Amino acid sequence: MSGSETRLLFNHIDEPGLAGLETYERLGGYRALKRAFRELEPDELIGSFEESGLRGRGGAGFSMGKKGSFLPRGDMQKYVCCNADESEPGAFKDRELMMKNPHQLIEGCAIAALAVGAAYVFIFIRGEYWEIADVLDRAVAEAYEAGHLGGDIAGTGKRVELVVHRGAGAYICGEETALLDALEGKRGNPRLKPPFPAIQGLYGGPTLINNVETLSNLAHIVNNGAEWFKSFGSEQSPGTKVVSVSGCVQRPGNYEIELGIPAREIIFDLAGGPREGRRVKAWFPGGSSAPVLTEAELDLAYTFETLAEAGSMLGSGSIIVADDTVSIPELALRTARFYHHESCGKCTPCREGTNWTVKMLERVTRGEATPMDLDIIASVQENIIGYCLCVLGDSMAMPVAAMVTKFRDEFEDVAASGSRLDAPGFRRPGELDDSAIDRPLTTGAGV
Amino acid sequence: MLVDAAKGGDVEIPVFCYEPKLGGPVGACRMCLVEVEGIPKLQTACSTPVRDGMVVFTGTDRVAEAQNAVVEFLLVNHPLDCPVCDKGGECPLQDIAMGWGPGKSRVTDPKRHFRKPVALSPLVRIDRERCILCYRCVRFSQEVAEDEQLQLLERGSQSYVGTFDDHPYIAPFHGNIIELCPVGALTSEAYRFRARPWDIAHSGSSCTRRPSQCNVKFTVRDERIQRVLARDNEAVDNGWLCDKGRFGFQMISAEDRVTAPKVGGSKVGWTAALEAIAERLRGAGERTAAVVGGQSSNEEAYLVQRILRQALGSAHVTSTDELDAGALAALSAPGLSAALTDVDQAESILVIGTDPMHSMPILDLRLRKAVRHGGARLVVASERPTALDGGAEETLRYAPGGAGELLRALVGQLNGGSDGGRTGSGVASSGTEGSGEGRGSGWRRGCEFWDRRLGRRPGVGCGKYRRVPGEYR
Repeated sequence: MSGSETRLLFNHIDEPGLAGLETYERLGGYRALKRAFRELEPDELIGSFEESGLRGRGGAGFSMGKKGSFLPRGDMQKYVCCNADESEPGAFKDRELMMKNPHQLIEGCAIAALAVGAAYVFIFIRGEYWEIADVLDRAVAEAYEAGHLGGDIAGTGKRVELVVHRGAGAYICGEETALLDALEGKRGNPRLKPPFPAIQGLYGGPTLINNVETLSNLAHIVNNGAEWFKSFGSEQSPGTKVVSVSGCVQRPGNYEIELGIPAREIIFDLAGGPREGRRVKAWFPGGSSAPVLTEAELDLAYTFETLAEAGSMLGSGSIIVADDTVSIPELALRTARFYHHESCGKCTPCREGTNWTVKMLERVTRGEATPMDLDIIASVQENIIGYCLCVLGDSMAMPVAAMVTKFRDEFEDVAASGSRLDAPGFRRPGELDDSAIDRPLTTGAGV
Repeated sequence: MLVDAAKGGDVEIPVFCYEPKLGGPVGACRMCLVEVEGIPKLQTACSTPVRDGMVVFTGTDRVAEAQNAVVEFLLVNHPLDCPVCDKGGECPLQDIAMGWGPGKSRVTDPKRHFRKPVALSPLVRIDRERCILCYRCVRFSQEVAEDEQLQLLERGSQSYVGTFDDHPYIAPFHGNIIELCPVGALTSEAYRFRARPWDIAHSGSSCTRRPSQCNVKFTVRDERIQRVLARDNEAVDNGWLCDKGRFGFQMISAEDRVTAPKVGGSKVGWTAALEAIAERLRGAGERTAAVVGGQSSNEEAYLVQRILRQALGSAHVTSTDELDAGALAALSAPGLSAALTDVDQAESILVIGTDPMHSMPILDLRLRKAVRHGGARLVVASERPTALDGGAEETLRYAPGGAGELLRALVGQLNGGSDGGRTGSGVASSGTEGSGEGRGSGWRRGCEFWDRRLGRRPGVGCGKYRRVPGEYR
């Protein structure tokens, strides 16, 4: 059934021992690193990444080469950060990439460091991925041992140091500037942009931040060239994409596809589609922060540009499928609760908007709302989008707004009658952990 | 920034978190969103620098929508208890909600609740329900006073301002957070329910508690001072007040304040009091001694020595000054004098023989700012540990009375390195040897003094305390 998979990053992914240096090198690993360090100039590398059209695989889809070219040239202390804080509901692709093929990422990190002139690389991995962090640590140690990292890479005297840093488990630390703050030892809150990290990032130095999958692509581009890379995918979305498919499908998992194939092929041919007799009701094309699409939109080509045109986004490339047994208002509440729980609280629209939305959706699912409340929910989402400090607020507002708009009838029905709250694994409204509220405070003279 | 430029042009852009006194903008409250030509997304005016030829719209429908939205969001959890709130009538949230808000609320869901108002410190009460989480107080604690006690605890809509483990917020400048707070969340214990903005008058003055003479504003009701506020003066106080200045006013109308002379505990007239003093001084005669404090004026000091020397025939007059006349004269040379604002531009700062936290608190904040924002290098040389030690690159300790010795040694060092005569070498350097050899006797006495005090092995590490103030506490 892997007929329509196209495996570049996932090539040999199930080869036993691939996480070890020996197997990785036997299969052609670290050739790109040696070639890049011995034969190529940083500008050539950045040029070829830009030429390849590789777009960031973390969510924003910004050209990787262009991002790299924003970093100033010169001798200042520069950094590369690999964003491995994969926390978006529905996304689990970086997990497999790092678990099974850590050297592919390490090679990419070293090449990126060479390209932008950075001597330090940090892999910021989410705290819950402790097992994978151990895998990375072992691989990094092997790479140091073999001279692929350290003070004399590939015998050229060039230096790149790599540190694996374990996060403490906050979704917001996947936001690039919050990641930098967390890495610096502060509370992980997003920073004001500009200045962008490419100019002033980690410890005030120019910093390139890229996702695991983006960096894992670099060795392949160095080995095979930008033209080869562009032969995959569409014009504006070249290459392949590891897509995590989850939800109501028969074979959930990671599938590497060539960008541009129809989403239907991913959901039905690769992931097996919904169970017998069920239909796709809604699907998130790019993680839970992407506006939901309906069954009618299953034939869209899976590229950055077509999904954006359809009013959604490819995001981190994580498809979540909801079949016709799923209550959309409950899905909306669950989505909103996640973002409410993960909002850092720094900026007003996100902090208060997620909180207010959750309260309203709870009323909807209890059957205590009116159609006017649905209008307010929709309007509150509009008031969040575009007004926040970072995109976390938008990440809740966009899917919730899409659900309320596209499934308005269902919302109205539920609002009038209440939904199935006894569905397994679903917390009843009011069970949200409001530990800060009414918390007894030990100091103070009282009222 | 755009906000300031607009204000100069008489256009007000509402802000909550923006406060230049606290350092760079954070763009957290999102109140100041404006439309900038050429940029698709609305921009925060507090963080957008002004450019030549820039076109900004602050009154379009799009901007008004955003402002309405932010005000509405801020009020989702705000109790709107203005009639019983101390801030009512002088509250930026009230003003902005009236001026830029939608005018009506669509919120029907329950608001968050806290126990309130609780004491954040003995002088400040906190009402967490009113808090709009603008970060100002936390930024003050973290980045201006650097006491780092106030934190934003929890996350998202459950965040609240507090201290670690609910310890009371005890810090020498913490009263400033009351004035920074744009809502009624932080209120002064001394002012709570004492007056309403329409009952009071303001009277500008200078604080007399410390030599810096910070500019203040007295809030007066019924001819009594009810409150002291800062009256920003960049050249003096940067807009801050120390707690002594802010809360010390209560002594003016304190019931146990001495307002008439007393002899033996009972009130008497001035004539009787002066006679009693004169009689005792006459009795003591030349066995009288006087110590003139640093806060006395020249005239007072002159008169004291005249009474002692001429009327009583005593030679026992002294002042607390450690330096001899020559050193004093050298230090007061016009070319050496500097204004307070010069500290902001200083590349390196040497603090000798004083702890600004006690002698002139507002200078402590300015020195911290110079180190944090100006990148100044700070060296503290004093008899006792100071509040500035933590931010100092180098701390030197000398025995009480050793300031003159230290200065001479420093001059010797600056004038020619190691020869410096009896001054010896390495006093101003980060020497690691503690033998005291080749150094002045004051230096050696200092080492011995602190070795004894701290119970250290003699001579260990004198002069190498780099950023380890904890050792002295």
